[in-house]
Amino acid sequence: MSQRSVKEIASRIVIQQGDLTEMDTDAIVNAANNDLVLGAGVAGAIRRKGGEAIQRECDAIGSIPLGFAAITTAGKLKARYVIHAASMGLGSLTTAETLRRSTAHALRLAAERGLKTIAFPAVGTGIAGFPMKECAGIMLQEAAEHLRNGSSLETIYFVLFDEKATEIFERTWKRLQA
Amino acid sequence: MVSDIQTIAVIGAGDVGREIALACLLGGYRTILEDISESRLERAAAWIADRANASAQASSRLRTASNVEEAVREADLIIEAVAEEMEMKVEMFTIFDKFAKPDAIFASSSPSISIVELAAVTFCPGRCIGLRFVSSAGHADVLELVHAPDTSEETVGRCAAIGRRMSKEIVITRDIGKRDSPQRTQRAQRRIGEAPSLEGAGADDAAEPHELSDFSRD
Repeated sequence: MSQRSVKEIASRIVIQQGDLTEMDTDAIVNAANNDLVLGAGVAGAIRRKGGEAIQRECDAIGSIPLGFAAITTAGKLKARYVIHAASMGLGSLTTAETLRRSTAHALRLAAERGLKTIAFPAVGTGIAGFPMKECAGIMLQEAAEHLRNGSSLETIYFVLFDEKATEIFERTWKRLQA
Repeated sequence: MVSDIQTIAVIGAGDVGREIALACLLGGYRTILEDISESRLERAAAWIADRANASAQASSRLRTASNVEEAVREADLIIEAVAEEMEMKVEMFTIFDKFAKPDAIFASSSPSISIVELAAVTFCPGRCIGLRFVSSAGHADVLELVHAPDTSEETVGRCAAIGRRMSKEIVITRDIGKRDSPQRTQRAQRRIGEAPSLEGAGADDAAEPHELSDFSRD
């Protein structure tokens, strides 16, 4: 990667601490299971704030394969779409592979619709028990790779709910750029 | 003979890191506080200036850095206070190992992560130790030195010396390195009033844990 492209990509990835469900990006990403049942954690917060319409759209889609993503509207949320990245099953935990593939698929779905902004949580680090540092490495790498290959997405946000996660994402991103 | 500790690098300027940096400054050490986030660094520096205001000299000994390599280069002692996750700490110790001075001590402030495992990623387990700054209302501030099996007595002695200069009560605990079990911290603990004699710390190896259980906290 040339210096210029590193810089250019770095400016398009934003890491911040905050509430994902308050993001007014074109899309926010749900840490979903492959049955698209919005239960605990990020998914629960999206369902509570966005309303039941999101779950109904998910029900209409049904199950998707592990490592894939699906897109719905965002109900009452500020975002226009919710992209459900299925890194886990109802009975299976997130793996590096399902996280990598579902992140990449979520980005592709956003780009296919010409979206300009998207916001991710730290997918898989809640009840799915995936380690934060590894999650940061995988998701940031996929985001950088996606931007490098050209995309409608102008900015990819990572919105972390606490200082610990934010610090881990920031430090990991700095290392990846080095 | 290694030189005295004069410069301390504190990695991570969150709640824990800034407390440690303040203690170092008040102890008279040149202190380099690192954080990757400029805003966190600014907040920490303001917080420190606020509390060190009785001693303008203490504040003047503070430097900030925005990357780990730069922060550790001149430090005699490096204390990490980054986010509490094993992989983060491992990465830090790997960087220390590459960029620190040849006799620098690597310390983790973690309350739960095994020093044994962190030391194992370095080429100098003798210079790895846990340093926990414990303050509780109504009691003297304590500096807990977490002694892993490979931690050298020299490292323990040098860290005890900084604790004394910071006017901390010094407690030595042992990390036996078993991970992820509540029994992991079956540490033999002992309190030492004054200067820990290096001989005494060595003799600790032979002590039975039950003799020391008065002081165990887990």
